[in-house]
Amino acid sequence: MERLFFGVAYAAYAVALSLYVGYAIFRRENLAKTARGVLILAVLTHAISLIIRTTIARQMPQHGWYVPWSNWFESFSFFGLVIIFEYLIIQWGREAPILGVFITPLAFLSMVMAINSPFGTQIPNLPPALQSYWMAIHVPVMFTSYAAFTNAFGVGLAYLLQEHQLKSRHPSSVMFRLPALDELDHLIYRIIWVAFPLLTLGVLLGARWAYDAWGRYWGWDPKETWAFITWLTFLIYLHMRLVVGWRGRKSAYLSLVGFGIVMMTYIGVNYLSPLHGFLSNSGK
Amino acid sequence: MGAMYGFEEMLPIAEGSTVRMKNRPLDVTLTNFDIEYYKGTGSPSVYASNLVVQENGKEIARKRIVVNDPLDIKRLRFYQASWGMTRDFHSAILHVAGKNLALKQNEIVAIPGTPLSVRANEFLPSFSVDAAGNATTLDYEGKNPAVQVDFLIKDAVKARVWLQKNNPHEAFQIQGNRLVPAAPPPFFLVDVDPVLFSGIQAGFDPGAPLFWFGSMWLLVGLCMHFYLHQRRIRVELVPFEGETRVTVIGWNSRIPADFDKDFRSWTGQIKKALE
Repeated sequence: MERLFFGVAYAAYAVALSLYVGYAIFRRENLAKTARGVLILAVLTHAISLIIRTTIARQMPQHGWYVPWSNWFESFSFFGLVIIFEYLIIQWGREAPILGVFITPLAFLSMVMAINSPFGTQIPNLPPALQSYWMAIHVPVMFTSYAAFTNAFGVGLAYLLQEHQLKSRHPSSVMFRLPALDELDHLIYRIIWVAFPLLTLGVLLGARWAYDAWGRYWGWDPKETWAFITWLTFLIYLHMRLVVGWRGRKSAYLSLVGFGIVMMTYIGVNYLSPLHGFLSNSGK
Repeated sequence: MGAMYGFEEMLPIAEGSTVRMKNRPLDVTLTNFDIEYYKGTGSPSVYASNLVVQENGKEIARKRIVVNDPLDIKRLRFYQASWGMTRDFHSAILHVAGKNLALKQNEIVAIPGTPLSVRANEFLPSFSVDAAGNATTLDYEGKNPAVQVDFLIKDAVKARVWLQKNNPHEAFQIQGNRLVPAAPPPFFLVDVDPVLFSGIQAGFDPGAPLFWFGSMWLLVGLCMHFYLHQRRIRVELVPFEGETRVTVIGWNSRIPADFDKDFRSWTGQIKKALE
């Protein structure tokens, strides 16, 4: 059952992605509307598959605190879900379905990463370090902020493309669908505006967990160090915007850099150290 | 504060033994250490230490601690940090003269049907022979469990060998002062149940509450800084040549662009209403 729902969700992400691409090329409004419907279906079936998975896993010994984001497959799969869920919220009431062209591929890529997990897609054996209710608190808060930064990255790409097209005076079909530069710029800011305190909260909750599990709240392990760099980057972004008054391209570039650092913290760091990672499957 | 007034110490405690803390007059006993594995795999599912803490011979705390659940007592925290195997064992099973013999550490047991008896002396978790020809262990994780065994006739040691559980055909015997490979022996080590130790990390961090308090304020402060915007609107009505002059003055602490938009919309509405 879980497989079936997951399969439907996966296919739906792919279909929605194709519909958005079709919309960008053929400029048919109903393609974008269908894409949104398909994405809602994807999020629902994906969520159901996670609920089923959790119900099954909780029967296993030592899986009382199991949550479906405990290893490579689950992490990327959940990440994809959160990206699309947040995208649906962001585009709600906004006449800018073209943003789907920029954001859906990112979520789909995460899903592709998930099913190509080198550790398989089965329910993992939770190592003692991950048997904690903090898994249900710290990780979702981090993911909510990471996924929001991913959305901001998608909008940032849209911004730069739009700006490039306006300057080059060679407008393409995508351009007609893109919101005004001002609006995109403001949207990036609003997303980061929400994601930043979540990132702060997530890091602090992580420190609280580390205090229970490892006997320290901050140890400068690579994950923590990069999380701190991520935090600083977006702090600089908000500061530049609110206090120095950065707008437009500079601000958009900074959001792209921020996303690169988020990816380093989320994925890259796991290749540096087996600690704090899901890629090693050791889960320390 | 943690660095100045706090401390952190590592207490490796073997099962059944008691260790006195360096920084506090407390005795910590490990009644036993459990390690469990997921069925059919080598991945551990539980590390648990059953601890008893005593002060002046009086028990003040008792708890089974696991990785995510430390023991809190007297503002100290005891964490499950690591574990390993000691050089001692509860029992070893030796296959000799066609039979399995269970041996306790240092116990002399007669081998049935022979004039020999056997004794197992010492255990090494990850047995290796170093450059000087001495038996040594590379770590405490049990990668290559080995037991030193003596064969005796009437309490006189006739032969002393190291038997490795994972390499039954590769025994080592002492020649001179060095360990050298022996001929593949007709006996081997079937199993060994080592005495485990648990690495308990004890910490006292008087700065922790301050840290949490500070973190909370950092969060609150950031939210206030970025999200609470102060806006002031001042509308002045001044008599001017028999009419009323309306002046609207606005001030905003952050994001001038947003405010600009709102402000224009308000003044637009006022103008419209007045006209």
